[in-house]
Amino acid sequence: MSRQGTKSGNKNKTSRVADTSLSDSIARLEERIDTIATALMGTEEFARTANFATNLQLRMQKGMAGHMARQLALFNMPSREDVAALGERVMDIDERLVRIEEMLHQIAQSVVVPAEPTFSTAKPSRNRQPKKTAMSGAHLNGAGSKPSVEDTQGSTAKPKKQKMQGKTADDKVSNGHAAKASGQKKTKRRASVPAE
Amino acid sequence: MQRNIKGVEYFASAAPAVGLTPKETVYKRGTLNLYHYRPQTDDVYRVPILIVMATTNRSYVLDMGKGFSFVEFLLKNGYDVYMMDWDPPRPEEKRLDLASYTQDFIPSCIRKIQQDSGVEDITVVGYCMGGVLSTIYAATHPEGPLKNLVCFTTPINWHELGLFSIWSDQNHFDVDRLVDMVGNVPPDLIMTSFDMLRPVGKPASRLQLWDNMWNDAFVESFRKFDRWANETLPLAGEYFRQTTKELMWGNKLYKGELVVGGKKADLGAITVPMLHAVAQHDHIIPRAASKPLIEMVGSDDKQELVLKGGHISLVAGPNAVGRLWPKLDDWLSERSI
Repeated sequence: MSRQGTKSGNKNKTSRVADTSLSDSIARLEERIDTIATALMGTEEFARTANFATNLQLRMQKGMAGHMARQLALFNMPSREDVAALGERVMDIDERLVRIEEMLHQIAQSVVVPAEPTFSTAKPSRNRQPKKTAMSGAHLNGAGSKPSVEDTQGSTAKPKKQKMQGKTADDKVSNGHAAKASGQKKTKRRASVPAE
Repeated sequence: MQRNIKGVEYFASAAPAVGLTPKETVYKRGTLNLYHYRPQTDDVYRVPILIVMATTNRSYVLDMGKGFSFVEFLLKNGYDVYMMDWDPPRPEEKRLDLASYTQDFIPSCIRKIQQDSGVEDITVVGYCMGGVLSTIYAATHPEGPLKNLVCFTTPINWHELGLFSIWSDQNHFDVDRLVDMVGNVPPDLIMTSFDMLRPVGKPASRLQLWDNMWNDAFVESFRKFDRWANETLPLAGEYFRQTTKELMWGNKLYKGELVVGGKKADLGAITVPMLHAVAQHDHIIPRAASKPLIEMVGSDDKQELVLKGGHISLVAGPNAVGRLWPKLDDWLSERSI
């Protein structure tokens, strides 16, 4: 039984190692291809070719749009440009209304005694004071244009933090703060930002 | 085996819900939506926050779900939060330009917030291009009512934007022809240019998804971010034309030559407390492009935070929960009273 358990434990371990190595391989491969592609796409030739292709596509699109407009005119129907022109006129009216609304508001303010802000009783009061945290003043000194670099590798700026068991003091405070704010337990979650 | 079962679940299940923090739309005008999130504490800081989202993307990246929502974090820590979010501009909105966003939309929203909250001061928080718009607004309105300015990954020196600068070189890129033909710049074009910054990013992320298919937290997070990345918005034609000519080619914000709506955008005129958070591994806005912001603003109280992470993980996801958000709260809380 225990031997079986060890076997399955080893299997899981192997699977995790395989997963990590696959993930690392993908990341390395991505980095390598991106470097090559960036070098290629950063050339003037590429810029010229890409813009030529875009222009060609636009010309085709314009030709199609013209053809479609002629067909629509044949059937006595409005084209996209006609609809857009109508939209522009509506937009003009909309803008005029906004200006009138602004003017009315200004007139109302100059005539009527300024009323209390339209707070309903449900609105919260605006008396909140900042809490005194360990972080206040620790790394946010307010004035000065020097960048505050956090966790920067290879940076010349020295971090103003004390190491605490492999984590920085700031990191500890930050994580606690975030967990408190989100109302969640501090659990390690693997998540990604795929768009990057 | 577990992967296969989960994989079937993945394809069969509906898209995950995002942007669920309770809110109401207090102002709507064409492409612009101004949301007010319902406060979640009995008392809030005096100064409300206006978040200006990047014009290329939906704002729900800042409200991805319980425990991973920047908006929820701010609300639970006692802030009164408003958000400028964008719908796809309609064909007739192709004429919106930088002045529309910085001299009309932002001031209009600020006025609405002042009326709604009864407070004169406002903290503006801008993300990416939202940061550029916020910075231009602040530079052209030194008289206020801005109380604090916070920017995330905001480019100022546009000549340092790497591949974007090369691709939009005026020798090859005919922005006039593009805008004249399409009106609003289609989202596909914008998404492709983002994807091309990391050409194998998408296939690699799919492989990573497969590798982690057994991990529910990973899959949920993946789906939310994937949905967000695929919902890129079109850009108003004139806004794109002006951004390309004035910022990308002319680098006028950096040079102090940008004039918007008849007002000069002088970064030195920004004197309110300012925080700029940038990501160490940002592949969209390189450090050289964002670095000058904090150096050029005229504020005495200014700080730059360089944090581990990328362009998106700086503000959303588990990395942001532990790094940026608490630091922002520390900085902002004492400046919001």
